[in-house]
Amino acid sequence: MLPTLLGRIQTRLFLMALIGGPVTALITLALPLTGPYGPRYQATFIVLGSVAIIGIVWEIIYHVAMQWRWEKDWPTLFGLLTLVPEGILVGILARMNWLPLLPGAVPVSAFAIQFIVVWVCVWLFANGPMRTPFIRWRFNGGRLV
Amino acid sequence: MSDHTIVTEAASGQLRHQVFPASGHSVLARAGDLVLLCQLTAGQGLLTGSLLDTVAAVAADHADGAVLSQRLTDLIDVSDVANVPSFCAFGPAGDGVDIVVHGNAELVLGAGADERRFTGRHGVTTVDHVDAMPSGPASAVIDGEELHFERQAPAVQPVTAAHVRRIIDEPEPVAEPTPSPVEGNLVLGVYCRRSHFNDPAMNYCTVCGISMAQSTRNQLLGRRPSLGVLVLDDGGMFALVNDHVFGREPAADQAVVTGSAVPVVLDDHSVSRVHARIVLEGWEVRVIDAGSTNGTFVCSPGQPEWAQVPPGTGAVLLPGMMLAFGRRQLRYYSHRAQSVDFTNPLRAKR
Amino acid sequence: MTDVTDMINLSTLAPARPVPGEVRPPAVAPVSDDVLPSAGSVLPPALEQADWWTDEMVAQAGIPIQDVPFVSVGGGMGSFVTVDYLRVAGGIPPEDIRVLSNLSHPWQTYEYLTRVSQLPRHRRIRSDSASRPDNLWGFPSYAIQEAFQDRTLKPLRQVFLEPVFADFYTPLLGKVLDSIRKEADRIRYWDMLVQGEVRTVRRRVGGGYFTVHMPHPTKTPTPNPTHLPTAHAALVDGPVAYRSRDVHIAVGYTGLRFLPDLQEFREKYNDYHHVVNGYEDHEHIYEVLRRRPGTVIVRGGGIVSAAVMQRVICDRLQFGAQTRIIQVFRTFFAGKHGNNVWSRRPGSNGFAYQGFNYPKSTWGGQVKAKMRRSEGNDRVRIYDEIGGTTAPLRQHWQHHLAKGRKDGWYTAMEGTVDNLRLAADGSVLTTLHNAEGERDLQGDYLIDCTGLDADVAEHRVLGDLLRHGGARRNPLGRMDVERSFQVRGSGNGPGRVYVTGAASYGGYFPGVDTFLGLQISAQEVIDDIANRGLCRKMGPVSSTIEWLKWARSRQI
Repeated sequence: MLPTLLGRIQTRLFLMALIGGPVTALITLALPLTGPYGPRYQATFIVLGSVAIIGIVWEIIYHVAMQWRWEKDWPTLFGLLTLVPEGILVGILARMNWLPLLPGAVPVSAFAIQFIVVWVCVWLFANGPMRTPFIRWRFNGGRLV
Repeated sequence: MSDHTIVTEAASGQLRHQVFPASGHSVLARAGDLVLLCQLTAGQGLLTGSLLDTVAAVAADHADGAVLSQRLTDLIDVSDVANVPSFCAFGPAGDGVDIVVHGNAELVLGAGADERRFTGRHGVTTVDHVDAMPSGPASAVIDGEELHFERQAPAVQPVTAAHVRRIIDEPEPVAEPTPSPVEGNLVLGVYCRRSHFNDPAMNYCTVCGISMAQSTRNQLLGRRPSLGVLVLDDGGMFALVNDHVFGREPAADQAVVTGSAVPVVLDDHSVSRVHARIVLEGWEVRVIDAGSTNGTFVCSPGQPEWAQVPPGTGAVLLPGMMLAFGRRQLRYYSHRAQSVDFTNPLRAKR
Repeated sequence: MTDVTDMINLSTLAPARPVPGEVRPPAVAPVSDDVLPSAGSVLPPALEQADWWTDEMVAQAGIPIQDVPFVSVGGGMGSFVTVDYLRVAGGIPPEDIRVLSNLSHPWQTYEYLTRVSQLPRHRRIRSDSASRPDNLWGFPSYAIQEAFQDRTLKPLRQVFLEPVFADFYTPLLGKVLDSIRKEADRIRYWDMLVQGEVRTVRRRVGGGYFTVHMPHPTKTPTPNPTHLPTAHAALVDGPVAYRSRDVHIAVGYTGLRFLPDLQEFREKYNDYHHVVNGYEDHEHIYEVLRRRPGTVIVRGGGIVSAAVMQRVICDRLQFGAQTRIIQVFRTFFAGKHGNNVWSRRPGSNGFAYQGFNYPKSTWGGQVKAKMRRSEGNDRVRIYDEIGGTTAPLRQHWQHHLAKGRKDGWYTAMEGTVDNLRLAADGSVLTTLHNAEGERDLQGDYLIDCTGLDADVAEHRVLGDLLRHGGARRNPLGRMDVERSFQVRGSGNGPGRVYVTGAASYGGYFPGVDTFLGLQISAQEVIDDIANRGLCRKMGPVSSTIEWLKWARSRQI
């Protein structure tokens, strides 16, 4: 990807909603969670929302890190590997029940499955199919508006 | 010949410069501010046409008298001087005028104290520059006939250079074998925008690299540049600026004796004493078998088969083509090549 | 036999208009001028000299007029990509577009230049996987296509790891050209193509433009090795004026750049084989060097020099050639270089490394955004920073060059060279100037690998547009264009002139002379036309529908 800071943030929020939303909605049914569906969905969507919102801070960090790169590009691999620090951070927050509005602590296994599946889907979509409906997106540093 | 009406051929080609029949034995070409007055002599149609084409081409490039003078002298330079008709030409250059007078011609500019005369002699070209244009009328004397440049509109229809070339050469009886129309190193080619002479097939100028799409692409006579090189299987290289004779003892060949071809000794018993000739014709390179014992073969790039060169006319070489004289092989390369497949390699010398 | 002179002797001497007594200054400045004269003399003076033409003027000159809303001049890759956008994104029918070109197919010049610079069809070009001239979306990318066609994961693995753990993935030239041809069929490119030479583009009184086009004279249909559909046959054997609302010009490079000393050398010695340009066929050098040890002087440090180097190395390995290389860099980069820590380009051993012609973000990220906001000198400064000669860092030849340095057959030096001459023994001598002073370099051959030239004024149509069309030059000397690639100062009523490709370098978008750059430029052009309400503006739904048509190879 060849992002600008604004493009990074817009793309993250948009794809978390467009891809992360439906994927979360589906996968919640299969996650090793207990209790009624209401709180289950509340938990998974709070996690998704946290990844999106906390991600804004991450994107600023990535943007600064990218400034050391001459080409000012963000290689495909980086887009995947950043799941490690982000996953650890949100995972801890979810495990410790430190996220606002979370109905309870989220088991590590459930979090890991949801987080990795959503992340990989978003990453795959951003590295190909995204260009089909949004033809100007890649030329605008990832900005949609 | 019939009544020889000179018809208008304007607008048929890319150019609309005007060539007017002048009085007597002359023709006048005027293109923009460039003027050429040229004697008409039967048998000299090709060069007359080239002179006229040169004026048109220089005008089409919006170039000035300096370029005209350069191109005309280049043309004389590479021509057999006996075939160049008498002419005078001039055009504005800077604040003044550049002038070329060749052969039995004289150009007179101005009158009285201001008068300037420029005289050519046979085989000699006068090139000059006048800083300020003398005032008064101008006239020319070509082959003893005095001609004046007047200001009124043309009374006759213009003709094209090609037409002039045709009408002055057509009626000439073929009494003796006419020399090849393109003699020696003289070929028809095109000038690039920066006045480099090129093969008309080129997309880019071979001297400066500019796209030939920018030039007017009129074909003019000029000195043939190198056509490429032949590389021998031992790494020897021969520039194709001359004809070549290959063999074990090529020095005995008539073309070598007269100095029109360069001998190349191939010391190999599969090669005949005079095996083959490489002859440059226009922009083409031709190989002609000289009655060799083992024959001369060619192989086109990308082809698996060798073909024997037929006796007599020989074969035209294309860039990338391989040649075999007995067991020795060569390959023809050219900077003019535009698309060559070099997949089958030239065998190394055994 | 008829006396020759009788035929000619029709009148007294016909007049010459410019009497020598009143020679005027030349109508146009001589060749060395800033703006070269252009249109040739196909036009009558009344049209030639007029900045604005009326319909009557054209009719009086006897030039037939054809109406078409959009004309694209050039017919190379720039025209193709723009027309592809017009057809696919803009939804404009082929009847409303004419491509005026001296080429028989859009990739003709491109393929010629790649071939002579040591890039045959089976080699990879220096272009990104998602930069597909045949596909507006860049999806699926060449890597995905190659993985699918060849049933291998290697291209995908490379894209996944590039550029940190692998070299950049780049597509095969042959596949790129095949895909372009397929797309040309799909968008009915051949129905829009008219072959010939464009002479001039002039503004029309009342809006729009006239584009004067000369069909190729006496040109029989070229025997076409690629069996392409034939373009429109010219109906008349003279100039035709296309009357259009908009004109797009993408005429590529005005020419190659042969340095003055190379030109002098050729003129002086009539020798075209000891000193060559990397963009010319120079196989004879490799042929000789396979058989005789020799030294090649390579001038330049860009992609073409890298190709030459790779060829020499291959010949060493494959045929045991004993070739020595002396490479001369104008600027020798020993390591990372740049103004500050935020803009340090990698380099070593003389080369500056970059995956593509410009930093990647030129085509979509930070550099693109920054340039788009910058004006005048700021822009020139960014151009200075990102410009310059670079080569891609490829493991293969880097490894061998290191070996060559060690074994002594490869030497790199800094400086400029001039004073080319042929020594008595047939070798080439050239004088090297650098901080240490002056010295002669001697080699058997010199290969000049400096880049392409594009002085816009030397181009017939662009020079004419500068003189008569209201166009200006930008700070880098090329055509001054807006962000939409509209030529500043040349608008006329509802009409616009757009210039894309190499001639628009120096504008708000730098990567113009690349595949992806042509697409970005085309996107801007089509968006501008759409914003004027003259074609569809493609949104997410229509884009997806058009993509599905592409994916099913449906002709449009």
